[in-house]
Amino acid sequence: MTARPNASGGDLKHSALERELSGWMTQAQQGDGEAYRALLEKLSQLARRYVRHALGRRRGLDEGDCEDVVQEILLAVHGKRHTHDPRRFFLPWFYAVARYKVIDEIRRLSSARQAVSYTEELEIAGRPEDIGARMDVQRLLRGLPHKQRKILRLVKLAGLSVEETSGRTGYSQADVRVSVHRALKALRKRMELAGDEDR
Amino acid sequence: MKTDELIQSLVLEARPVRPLASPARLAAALALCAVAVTLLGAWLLGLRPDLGGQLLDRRFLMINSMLLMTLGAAALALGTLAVPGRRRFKVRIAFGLILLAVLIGMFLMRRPWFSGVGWGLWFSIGAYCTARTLLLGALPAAAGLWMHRHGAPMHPAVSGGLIGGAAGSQGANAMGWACEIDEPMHVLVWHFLIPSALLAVLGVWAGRRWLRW
Repeated sequence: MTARPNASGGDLKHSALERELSGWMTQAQQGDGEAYRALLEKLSQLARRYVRHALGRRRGLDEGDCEDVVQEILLAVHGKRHTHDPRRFFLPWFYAVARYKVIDEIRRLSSARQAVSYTEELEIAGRPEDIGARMDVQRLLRGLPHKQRKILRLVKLAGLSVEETSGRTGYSQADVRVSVHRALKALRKRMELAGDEDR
Repeated sequence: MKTDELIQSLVLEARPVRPLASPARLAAALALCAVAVTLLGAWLLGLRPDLGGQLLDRRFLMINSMLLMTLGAAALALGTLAVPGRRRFKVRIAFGLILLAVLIGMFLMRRPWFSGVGWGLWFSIGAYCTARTLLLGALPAAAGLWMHRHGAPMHPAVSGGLIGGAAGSQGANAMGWACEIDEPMHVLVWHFLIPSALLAVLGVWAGRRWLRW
């Protein structure tokens, strides 16, 4: 039985998937690693399907970027798993988290498009030689989500280790690693875009 | 990093988690915060000389009770907003707005609205009270934002605005114990509406910035 984001309480009550995930989540909240692994593996499948539908098909996001959003969702589940009340249904909680991250990605995409059109405006204004100079570190960093910017500053500019950054920011070490990876990837992409426009 | 590797590293970090505070604990924390703000107001600004008489006055008690009830409604909505998948926050916000409307109605029913002092004096005294109410509201606003970050706020700007507005209510409540001007327009405008609106706007800004996750 496939549970959908808008499935009603009645549907969920009889859903084997809901019971299974809810059980794993309760065990994971108590620190059971194996239940947590099973939960995350199943959630990655559900998240992938949801993201492909919401961002891949509808917004034309490529497979790699969809997978990044899936990872963001898993990190969010990890960071906010204490907010799930075991007496309530699990799937509405999970899809609300997934939806939040998908909306975040849509916002990021639209702001990235705005950044591209900003450089286009500069080009039209006849100052293409300024574009490279303007794409300095600070401006590049400003285009990143707050969390990635903060973590990248600490790891790459302040030279802190992953452990130190995790301790200082409160994000898990896995989250710090993924955020650095994601931030560098986003910066590379933005620089390539800027480079293409320079040519 | 591949998704399988990410799952592996997250599993390594699997530890028992402390669940979010129950509504009863949240309500207790809120009541404690309201008492702390009132005590802070009494310490910073002193108590109004006629407080003994006011505590026996039905209108004074009703208005302050309504302020606290509005604050409670905001806290209920915030509790719902901090948990993914809960959808009843709109009902709770609507309930808070109804309480707010009743509160404003209670002010407007009191006569005379305006005691007839000059506008200059009215504004200067009012600005003084607003500044102090903002000062008293800043502490619960910061505490509310900090507590809310522990949850998973689904609508950061709405949460921030509610926290700001609720903190303004707490400030207004505490200010009522210090300021002896009872003129309804003074209390409504300078103790309540302007500080709460300013804190709500600041809350929206802070919510967008600090409550995202």
